Amino acid sequence: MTATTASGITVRPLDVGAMVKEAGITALVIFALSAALVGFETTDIPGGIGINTRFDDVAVVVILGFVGRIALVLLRQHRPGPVLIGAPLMAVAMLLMLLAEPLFGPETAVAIAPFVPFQDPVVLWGLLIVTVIILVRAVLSRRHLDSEETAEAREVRMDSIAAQVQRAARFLGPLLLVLAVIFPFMPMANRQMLDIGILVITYIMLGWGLNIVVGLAGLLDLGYVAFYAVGAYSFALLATYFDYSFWICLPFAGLMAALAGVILGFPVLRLRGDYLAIVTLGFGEMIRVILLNWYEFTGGPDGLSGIPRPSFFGIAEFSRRSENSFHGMFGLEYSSLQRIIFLYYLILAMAMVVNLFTMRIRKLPISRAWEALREDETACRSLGINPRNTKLTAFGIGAMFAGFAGSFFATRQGFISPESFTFIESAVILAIVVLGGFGSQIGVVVAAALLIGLPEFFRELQQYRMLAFGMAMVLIMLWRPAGLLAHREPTIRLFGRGGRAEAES
Amino acid sequence: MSAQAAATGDMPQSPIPGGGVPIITVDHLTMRFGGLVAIDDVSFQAATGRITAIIGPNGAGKTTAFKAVTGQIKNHAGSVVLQGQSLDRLSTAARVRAGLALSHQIVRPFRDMTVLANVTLAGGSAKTAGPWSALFHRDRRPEEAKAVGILARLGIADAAQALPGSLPLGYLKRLEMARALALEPTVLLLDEPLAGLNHLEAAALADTIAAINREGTAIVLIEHNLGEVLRVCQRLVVLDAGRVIAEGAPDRVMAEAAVQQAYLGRREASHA
Ligand SMILES: Nc1ncnc2c1ncn2[C@@H]1O[C@H](COP(=O)(O)OP(=O)(O)OP(=O)(O)O)[C@@H](O)[C@H]1O
Ligand SMILES: [Mg+2]
Repeated sequence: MTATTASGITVRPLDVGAMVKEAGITALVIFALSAALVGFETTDIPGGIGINTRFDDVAVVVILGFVGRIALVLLRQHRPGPVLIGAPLMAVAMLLMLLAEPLFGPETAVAIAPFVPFQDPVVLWGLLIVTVIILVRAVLSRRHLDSEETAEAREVRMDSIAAQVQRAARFLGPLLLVLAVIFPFMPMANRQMLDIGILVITYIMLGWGLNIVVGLAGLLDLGYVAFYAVGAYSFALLATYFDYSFWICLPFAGLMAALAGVILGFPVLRLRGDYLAIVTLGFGEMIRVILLNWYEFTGGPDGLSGIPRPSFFGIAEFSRRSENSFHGMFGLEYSSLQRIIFLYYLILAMAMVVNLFTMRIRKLPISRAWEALREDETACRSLGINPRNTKLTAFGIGAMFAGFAGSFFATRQGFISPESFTFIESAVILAIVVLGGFGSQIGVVVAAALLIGLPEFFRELQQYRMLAFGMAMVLIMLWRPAGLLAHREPTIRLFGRGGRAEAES
Repeated sequence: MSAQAAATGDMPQSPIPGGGVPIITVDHLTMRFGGLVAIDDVSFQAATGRITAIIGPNGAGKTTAFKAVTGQIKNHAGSVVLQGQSLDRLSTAARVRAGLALSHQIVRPFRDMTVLANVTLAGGSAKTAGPWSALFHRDRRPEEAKAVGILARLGIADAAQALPGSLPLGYLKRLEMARALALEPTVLLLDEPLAGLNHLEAAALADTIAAINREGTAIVLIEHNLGEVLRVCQRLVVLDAGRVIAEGAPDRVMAEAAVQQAYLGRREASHA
């Protein structure tokens, strides 16, 4: 009954019933999830909000889920044959729909439009990517029919891939930096691209800052945005009330944020793991609520506006009419882009400072003390390490960098309000760190580009952003619980999967 | 201090029974866990150039006494004075920085670090103690060299690059001790350092402990291996059910009837 391939792998007879049942359950789950989310769309109509139904899209999604699940089951059972035929057909069909206009002209595009599911081409592109991934897996599975890879083997392989990436990071990092430096002078660098670049780098900086707290010191901080807010408000208040320049306010704002970190950290750092996470979350919200209600000082929900823009190191201004204007000084045409480019380089330089600091601090005793603390506080005490102070250092440093980023945010926006510092920001920054792999610098860059950059490019995707977030998180937790590019020296694994969490709690 | 020496009633003519310069004085420690009195009015002293051994049956309170000295348990009565400085209000970390070092009975290595990294971390304790110094030091070669020397001395240099998870207990116990040594303490508290070692290894390590002691470190030793204890220690404290039942020169203490009964009597009975 059971066939055996040359290499000894058993291919059991296909249980069609079980397969259909599994696919059916998948389809049901997808239906339950998408019926409300995709099925109804709110539209602006004169006089209020109307509701569009998109049940055809729901149907397509459910069918695709069903088919996709069957493909995965077949792959799992080492029967890539049907997938090798079906997946390319699907991919070609989607490509044709997507490229109908450039390939066959607008008439054809209009003619097939009623048959094309989903109005957003983005969704089709996404599906195409999924199809290609399944196809690649089918091809690989055909090639590796003889090597059934256990979860552990995959874990080891992924870890070695991550190790390679991290080794490559030594070259990749500088390469990315060079790209980032010449980016503003590339022909494609328009205002929008530069803005996205600034945004992504801001989050990279925040990710690196939080990485010190979460990745190096192992303190799960869910209220990181509080220090971003403290930095931004300190900066804004100093700059508007006292009229100090950016370069004076910046260190002060960082200092204030670090102080806030130490003051908040002092009572909470006795707690561990989940408890710490919850309390930091609470503190983060508290700061926001204070900003919201301390009307006389912070402007409450109205926020603070008229925050001065940074000058060119205090010697020149970025304005059309000014005695010492930047363009006048360098004999250039006036362009509003000049300030954007300056802001871009400013945040790039600030982020690089954080990066260099982190790279250096990894080699310092404090970093080893953090590593030891992550593992065993009692043992640390017996080695004369004061756990509270050591943790406070991480908290304070992380907060300081958040404060710098906050200053930048304030000067770039010219306006801040508590709305910019909600919990979701903390969650996004933490997601960047977690996705990138705790403690991995290049991982943060990749994750920030994925989580911040992509949704900015595909504005249409914005509404699905949180959904995609959740999905990516779940996948990562299932697949690479330690993060995409997580890899720690030494390479030997001491615990099985999940063992880490045990060792840390 | 002389009052205390008198209280021990052992050698009233010398301030420190058994000789040596007094360095740590542990006075009237009492610790209750709920209804259980784990240690009851325990006092002892340690001096440079002298090994003080604490023996007693399982559950006598030996480890608890150590934990009270290092501040790992709180809410105990009594006082600990190290070189004239009271440790009572200090945290464990601060006591360690003041010159105490403890090797735990239950080993606690950092399992993500190699053996060498474990000891190097301890060797750099002066740098990791405060956040500021921990931020502004980079060179770790001196600590590493020191760590290599300590590992060699304790006979576990061959495991320098190994991860603790892969090592037998005998190695881990010595790693515990290596870390404590790397702190360069004035008083070294060793909780059953010979456990998990065979006869030869135990004898060698006992010799090493004696040598370290001769170099000027005061040592307090908890150990069940009576043969080695009697061979290297100059002073013996016997605990039973939380109380000090005898204290003094090893041969005299071992001859006391209470000790025979409380400790050896049981053992001989089980041997017979
Ligand atoms: N944290 C604790 N909570 C409750 N009881 C404890 C605690 N620690 C120790 N005890 C009890 O105190 C008594 C003394 O324990 P301790 O560990 O000091 O003994 P010990 O002399 O070191 O024994 P052994 O030779 O087995 O190591 C024992 O009865 C033990 O059960
Ligand atoms: Mg004990």
